[in-house]
Amino acid sequence: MPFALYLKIISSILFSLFVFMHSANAELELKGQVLERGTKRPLANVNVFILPEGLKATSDRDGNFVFSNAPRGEREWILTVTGYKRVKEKFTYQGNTSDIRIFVEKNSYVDFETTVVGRREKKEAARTVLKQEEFITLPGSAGDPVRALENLPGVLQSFDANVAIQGSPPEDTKYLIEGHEIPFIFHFFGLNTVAVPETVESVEFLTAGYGPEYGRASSGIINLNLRQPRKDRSYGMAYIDFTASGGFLEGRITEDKKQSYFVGGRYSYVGEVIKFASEQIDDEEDSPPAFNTAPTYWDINLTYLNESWEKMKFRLITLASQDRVEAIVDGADNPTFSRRVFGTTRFYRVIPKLEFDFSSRSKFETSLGVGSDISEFKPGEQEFLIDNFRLSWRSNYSREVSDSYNFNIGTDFIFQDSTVETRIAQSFFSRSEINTPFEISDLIIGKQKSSELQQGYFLRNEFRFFSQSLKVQPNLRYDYFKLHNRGYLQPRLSVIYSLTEDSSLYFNSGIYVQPENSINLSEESGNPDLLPTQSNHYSIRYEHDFREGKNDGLLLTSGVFYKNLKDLIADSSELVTRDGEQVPERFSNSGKGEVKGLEALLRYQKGKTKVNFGYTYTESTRIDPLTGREFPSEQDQTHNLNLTVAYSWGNWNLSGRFRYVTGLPKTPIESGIYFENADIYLPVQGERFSERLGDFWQLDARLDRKWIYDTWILSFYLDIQNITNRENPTGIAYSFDYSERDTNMGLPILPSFGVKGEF
Amino acid sequence: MKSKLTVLMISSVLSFLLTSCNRAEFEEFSELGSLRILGVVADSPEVDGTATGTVNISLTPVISDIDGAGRTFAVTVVSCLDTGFVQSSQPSCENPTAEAYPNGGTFNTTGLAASDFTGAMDPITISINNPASLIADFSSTRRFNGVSYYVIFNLQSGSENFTFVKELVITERTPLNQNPVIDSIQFNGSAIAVGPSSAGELSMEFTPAGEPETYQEQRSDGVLESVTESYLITWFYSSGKVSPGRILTDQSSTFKPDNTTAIRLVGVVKDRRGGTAFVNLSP
Repeated sequence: MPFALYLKIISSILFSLFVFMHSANAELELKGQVLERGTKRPLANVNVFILPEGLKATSDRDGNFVFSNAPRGEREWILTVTGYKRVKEKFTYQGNTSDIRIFVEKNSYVDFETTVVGRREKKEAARTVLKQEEFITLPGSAGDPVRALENLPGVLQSFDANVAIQGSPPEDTKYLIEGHEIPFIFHFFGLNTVAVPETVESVEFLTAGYGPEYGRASSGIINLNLRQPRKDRSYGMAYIDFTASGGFLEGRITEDKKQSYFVGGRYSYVGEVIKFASEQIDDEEDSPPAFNTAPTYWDINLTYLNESWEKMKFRLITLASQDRVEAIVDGADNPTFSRRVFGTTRFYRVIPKLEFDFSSRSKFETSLGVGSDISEFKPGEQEFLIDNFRLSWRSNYSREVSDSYNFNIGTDFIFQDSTVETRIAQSFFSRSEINTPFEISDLIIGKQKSSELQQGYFLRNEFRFFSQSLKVQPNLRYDYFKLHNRGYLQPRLSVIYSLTEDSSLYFNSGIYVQPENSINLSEESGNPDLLPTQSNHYSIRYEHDFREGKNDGLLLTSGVFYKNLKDLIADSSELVTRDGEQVPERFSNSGKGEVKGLEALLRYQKGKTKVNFGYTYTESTRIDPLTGREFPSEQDQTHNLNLTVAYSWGNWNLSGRFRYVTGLPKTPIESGIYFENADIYLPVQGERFSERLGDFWQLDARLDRKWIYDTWILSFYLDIQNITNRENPTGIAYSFDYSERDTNMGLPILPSFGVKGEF
Repeated sequence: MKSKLTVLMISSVLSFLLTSCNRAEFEEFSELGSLRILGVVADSPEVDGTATGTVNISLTPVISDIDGAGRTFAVTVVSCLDTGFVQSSQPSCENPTAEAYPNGGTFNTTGLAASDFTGAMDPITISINNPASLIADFSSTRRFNGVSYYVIFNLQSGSENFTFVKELVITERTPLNQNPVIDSIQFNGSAIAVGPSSAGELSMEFTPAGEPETYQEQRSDGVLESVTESYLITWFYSSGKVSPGRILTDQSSTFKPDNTTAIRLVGVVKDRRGGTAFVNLSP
């Protein structure tokens, strides 16, 4: 072999050997992402170490990290993140680049920890906000945002699908979503709010002395703020429980994350359960209602978010809900309810919302609420139908003028176009606690069309003195009601004084006017001369935060409130002359009353233990327009006490709730008068609200458990209401002629369970 | 606000029906025993609202007082135009007219033909003067659909008081309402003349002229609507059980006896516009 050829061969062998040895120890680019285990939420600013070399990379805001010189072979990751379990894993890396995902598990998925609580912002005492992480975990409310409000002072114990606030009737509370009114907040039975809880960002609860941005409610406001879609990843949830199944999907539409979406819904089959249980009862003596169609409800929510502009954000929210029930009642004592009872309510809202951030000191928001409300009720042969188109407009401009003054000004308009068809007893519209039986009440037959415009304007001012320790808010609201053909100026004053960094004193007062609805103002079924009801609110509250900026510790809030009520609507049996004819008056503004009370809320947290104690003392009275006698109102719950305790360990959470409420006042029926035409007995009332039901108390418990997997979370809950199986009185039942009576009892022990998957 | 009313009503009805239970077993509506008024038959349930003279109406109450075992009642009767009677928590007449009940204002149940003190009382005649002027101040819709005129009876025996009301309707509508006319009570498909003693199906048949009438009602916007009566039939019985105790036209009920003894059975039909008829079957 020639020497040159021999040299060439040796060089090739040596070169190949060199390449091989070099590649064995070559350093390569390694890409990966740090994600929260279960939720797949990207974790930013996480230091990722590779051992034994001690190489370090830090994740960006999308959780992505890059090692530009990652060595091949077997190595070890180490990640240490506050609030998460330490990750120390071996891995073997051979490739040039790869998409590795490192899942980091939180210390707890049942306890929402925030590393920085900070001191509470002092805005106004008449406004309480429960965020999702609070109402989801509050015991006794099954994670429902509005049922969680029952744990707060000022919210009365209710046995139906309504919320009563501070001694006022449920119809004096308005329900809103994103500031726009909806006809009801609960599905029937009061089990669930009309939106899936995971879609709700927060629930606002406004009480006596609330600010000028809202009105038309003498008692208070409950407003649901919906969550914005997540943009960092796609996310979904599906659940099934005792009453309903549902789920949602959300995520970004565009890669730049400027557009995102949310779609979710829920369907309830609780009626199938009730129908099945109803059919199992084989007792001729006590015929339960046989359901022709099982009660059902559903709701859906669609949200689109666009943040493509620097200073503007657009959101489109669509919400729809329906409740439906049809029952056959074999009640021999009540021919009107014998046979068929049918009811349905549904509504939808489309809410486009624009937000402009002109600067750090000025902002403008405007939104519309477009939709319709349809309600139908058919007891036996009677019927009542409302078809209501609604258009609402809210706008708000806020400006921080200086360190000592800011203001916001806005509008709050509602336009409604209604068609009401009735073939129903007058007593359907009665305000009395004991109604004239349907069979003998005057029949209101007709079809009414009406439209109304309610204009609202508001101005909030805030003047700050003494290094902002004193804030004075002289606010103003003006409402014009077309149906009443009147306008009302409603001044409202709030004062916040910071005694120390951790304690404050709040004072709120104001005038509140609530218009009457078109049905009660119509000549056919109401009184067109009715005025809006009016109430004057005063409240003083003291708040002390003992936590000094930390999570653990005690937060105390307590205060007193007073409401003076005027021009309340009361049933009237008088005849009046209108347009030269004698007609029944039906309703008058002769009612008046007052509500006074005391509230206290203690919140204590120590590590994994949380305790909430809420207490309300209320005296709610009305004046009889005929006799001038003072009597307790239907909502006079003297004592309302709520104690909740929750403890979490790992991914377990155990919570309990104890409630005590004074029995509600009731008007006794002393005797019955037989009304031959309808074959029924007329109740003859005793002294108004002169009796009380027995006291209510109940113990509930709930157990939650989560199993965390890399890309999804499985949750299970067991909820037991009325653990002691106490028979709580809910009302009084009478025999057909009112000669005998007995107490109705509420639900016995009621266990329920559910399973949820988040991915 | 309007939808909230409906939700309030629906949730209240359902909450009551489904979540409430009481422990007592109340007396059944249809079981005879204590003093009961089964019906009041007027020879004319409606009064001509265009009449300017005096209109006389004969009223015959039908009662059952098995537990009373024969006793005397003091009977008082008053009458008045409707001024919101049924809307009040304390129903009473405004400016009542006292009416004279026969036999010096007394009635003895021993005088009833039935041995179990079930049957018709002595009739009373009510005189309504110038009905047209009584309703002249009401709206035209109200005058067409009818203004109520109440006749209030009170039976008193010892410490026991029993009040019942018969509503007459003064109306400009024609023709005036007539009472239903019962042809027979049917038991297992055949007409019966005495109370049953075995299980079976009960129903009621009417004469052609006594069938539910079709009449007109005026809506608040003046439009006339045709409405057909729906009879309410109530079964009253001395023992056993009739289920359901109240039915509508063309429906039937089931009777289950306690034993083989025949029962007292009274079938009462009301057209709910003041028209009443009854059949009283002895054991």
